[in-house]
Amino acid sequence: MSTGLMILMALIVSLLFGLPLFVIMGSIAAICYLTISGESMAVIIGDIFYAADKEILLAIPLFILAGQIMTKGTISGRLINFAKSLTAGVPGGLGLAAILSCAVFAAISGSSPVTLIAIGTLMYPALVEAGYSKKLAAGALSTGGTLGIIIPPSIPMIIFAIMAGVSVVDLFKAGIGPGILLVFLLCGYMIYARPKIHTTRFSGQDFLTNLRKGFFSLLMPIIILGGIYSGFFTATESAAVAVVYAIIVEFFLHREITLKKFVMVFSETAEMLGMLFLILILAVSLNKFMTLEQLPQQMVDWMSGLISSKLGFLIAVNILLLFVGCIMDVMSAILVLAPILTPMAVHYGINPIHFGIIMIVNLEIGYLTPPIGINLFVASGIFKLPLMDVIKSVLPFLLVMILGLAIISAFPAISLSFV
Amino acid sequence: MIARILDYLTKVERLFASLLIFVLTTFVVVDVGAREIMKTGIPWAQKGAVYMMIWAGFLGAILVTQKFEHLRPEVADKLWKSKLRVPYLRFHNLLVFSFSVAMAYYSFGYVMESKEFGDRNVIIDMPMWFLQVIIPYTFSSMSLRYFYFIFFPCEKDPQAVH
Repeated sequence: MSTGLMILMALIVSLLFGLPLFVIMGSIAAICYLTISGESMAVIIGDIFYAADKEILLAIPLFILAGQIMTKGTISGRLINFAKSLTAGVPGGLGLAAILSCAVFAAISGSSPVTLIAIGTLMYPALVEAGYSKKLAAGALSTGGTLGIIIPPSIPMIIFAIMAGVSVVDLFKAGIGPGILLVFLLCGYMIYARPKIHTTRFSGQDFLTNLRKGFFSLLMPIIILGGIYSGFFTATESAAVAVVYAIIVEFFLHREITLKKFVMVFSETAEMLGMLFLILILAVSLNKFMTLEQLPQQMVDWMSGLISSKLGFLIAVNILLLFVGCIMDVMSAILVLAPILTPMAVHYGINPIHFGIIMIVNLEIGYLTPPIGINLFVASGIFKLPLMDVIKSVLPFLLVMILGLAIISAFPAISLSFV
Repeated sequence: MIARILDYLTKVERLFASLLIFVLTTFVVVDVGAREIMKTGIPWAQKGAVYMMIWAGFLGAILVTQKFEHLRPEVADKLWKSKLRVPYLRFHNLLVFSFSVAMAYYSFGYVMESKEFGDRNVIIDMPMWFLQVIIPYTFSSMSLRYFYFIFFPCEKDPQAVH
């Protein structure tokens, strides 16, 4: 039986029986090593230990830990109050506050579903009470929640950097421009689609009070991004600073995290790390095999025969990734596709950092597309809306996101000018 | 009986993984602080933290197994309804159990080989087999759980969100 046929069979069985991704990665790596290189599975064990022995990986548990600590308190409430007072007086101000709260919270938590739960639970009733339709409120919050992976620090960006062999810091810097663009576009749509309701007046007193209450939470992304952008921190150092800052803010300034919650945070961090860890190191083993056998180069040669222009490749890859976003979660898609697609992108003259951002924005949209768009299910649960209604609610926002994706793809400067 | 043993094992693994995350965080923070403030880092701190992360990551994978929360494609889940659900879960667990046993077997051999060759990590001055022993342990512990799940299948908590 040929290797290709064995891999195909393994994939069919894996999909049919919903096997964990680490089993799928490991099985494919084992088939490749056994049949092509004639090596035993022991090679994979050596590979996974070598893959795990990298200092850059330390940034993953540290950023997860910082996000977990910061989200245990009442930071979401503080951010919402600040955003509300900031946008008071602007038509559709509450809608803008929803998007801005999601963006800042996402930068701190780094998780899209967690952002949706934390901000959505407080903001959805407020939006509906203020006269926003349930559809608009659910759509805005579900979409705003996805900003977590494009606004640095972002775990998917670290994973992409490892799999594609690019700088994490450069990728973080490159995420700033597209993140701001998407926030602007979503805010623009919220102003356009706002209901005809009375606009509240801006109050300097309220603004200053809420700024004081939310100041330390707002400062976190500024410290992290400022440190990275100025070249003062490496990715791992910025993650360490994030943890220390989170502990200081939640323990000594906000005083909202109990010792019990603090202990739980370490256990939850270990679980979240465990969820990614096996898949990541097995994917690196598979990636090493592909590189040794020059598979990415063969894929590039094959693709060159089909598509001749950079524009053609960009269109094809965006369509592919939008489709992939519908059927795979972000991490899985990056682990599987980044090593294959990045050399192709480079072949067509696309900067690998820019390509990483394109890939992440595509997969961000995948949070909103059935059948596995996780934000749709989370929104349906927390807003008590039928899944179909949530899907309909995000449709206009999906178009806005796709417009953003097109702009980000067409203008590399949006991503690369910060690098 | 087996459920209680697994429960006890999970508690120990959870405690150990949490401690590792705590200590590795302390190591990195102290190292970064020393480098920025005293202009000299602690040479073994980052490497030590990396190995603690490896241990914590593997132990975390066991904890995720216990909660049935490993990332997996769920596209075909709807095919397996009502009467087919339990046989499906048993077969699913049997396949993952087989993979875990194979990985445990080969990783045990790998660690034994490393011990035989006397490989050492020069930065933290430790035998490599001691650092690598977490791999066979993880896959053995996961095998045990998946073996249990073959007979007592369970599913991911639908409310779980990471």
